[in-house]
Amino acid sequence: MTQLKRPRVDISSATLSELLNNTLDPGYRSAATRDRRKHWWDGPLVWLSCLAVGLLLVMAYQQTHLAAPARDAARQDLISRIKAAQSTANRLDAQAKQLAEQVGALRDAQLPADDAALRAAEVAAGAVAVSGPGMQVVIGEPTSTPSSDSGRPGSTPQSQVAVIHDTDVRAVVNELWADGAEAIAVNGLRLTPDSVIRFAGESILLDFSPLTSPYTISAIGDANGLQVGFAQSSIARRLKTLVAVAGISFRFGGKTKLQLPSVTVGEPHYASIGPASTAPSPSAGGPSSSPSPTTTESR
Amino acid sequence: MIAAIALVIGVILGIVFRPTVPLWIEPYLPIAVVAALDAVFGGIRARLDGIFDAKVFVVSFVSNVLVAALIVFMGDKLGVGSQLSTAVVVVLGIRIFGNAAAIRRHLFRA
Repeated sequence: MTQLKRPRVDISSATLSELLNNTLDPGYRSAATRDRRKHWWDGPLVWLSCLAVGLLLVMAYQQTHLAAPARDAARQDLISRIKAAQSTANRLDAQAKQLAEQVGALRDAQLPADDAALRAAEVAAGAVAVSGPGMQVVIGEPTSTPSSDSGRPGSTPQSQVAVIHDTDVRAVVNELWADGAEAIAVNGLRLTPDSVIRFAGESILLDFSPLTSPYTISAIGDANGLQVGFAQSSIARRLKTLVAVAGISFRFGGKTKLQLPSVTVGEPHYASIGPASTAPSPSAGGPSSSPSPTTTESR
Repeated sequence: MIAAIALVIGVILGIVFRPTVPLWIEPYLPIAVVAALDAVFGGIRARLDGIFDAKVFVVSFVSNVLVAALIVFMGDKLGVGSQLSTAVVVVLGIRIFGNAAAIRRHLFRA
């Protein structure tokens, strides 16, 4: 019986028992039987090895435990570099805006009369700061997670992490354009005809600037018309449903005075029908509702 | 006895001089430590068994460290670095435990 079973069990059990029982290096046993003569360097070699072992232990300890502050310092360094780069970008942006203002002033001095079409195009392109009456929509993520089942320990249900998606913000913006908004800003960032509202991970990006909750969408235009149009829109109904279901905060109302900043407008391009003329980009404002992008070329 | 003193001196040297580890060695250091510990425990046990041999000890120490590092290196190159590290740690851990048990039997007769 055991004879039959042996071949199958043998390999693994032999390896394991060899591993478990003969823990001593077999070299010692064979060296002991060989009976070799002593050398003068045997002692120093052993001491040197023990020295190396001690050094190795300390080095490994220091590497794992004392390297943490170094990592932290590197992280702080990276953070400070990011902040420095951000402040540089902000300074350059402010400089660009200032220069654009100078260019605009010089151009106005050269132009014979006040050009209404140019003003309208500037507003549409977000090249000038605008103020006026309008309305404001504020959407906020749920502040406290509902006290329903929390699921697996250590995890937060996806539905409670990011309820509001880029599509919601985009739908609000598109609705406001469609209701006749002349200028829109999200969290104080002015939308231009080629702005893009996207989703990356769990944050909403507006032209690569991350937005954080609450999302404040300010639109300048006819306050009454905007409010009536927005209140009747499907996105408003959807957000109201989300208030009840997911606990987001959502409110909107007219404002008598709103102030929207300008953005640095890049080099304008003439619109052309090329091979790349595909579907409209998922930017703020659909092609039918947004101010015509072709008017940006007037600068 | 002198070996233990040498080990302590090594530790003190490491604390005092704080040798910086080159970056390319860093991943192999933990596994090298485990391999070195295996050699040390094997040496102590052989000493208690009365069959200690300096040459075997030194060769096993050096080769243990090198082979362990080589296995991790190969694993990293093949994309199974963590699994191979685990395998090395398991095998060496079993040997360390076995040798420690033998040393304990020698010292305490239990």
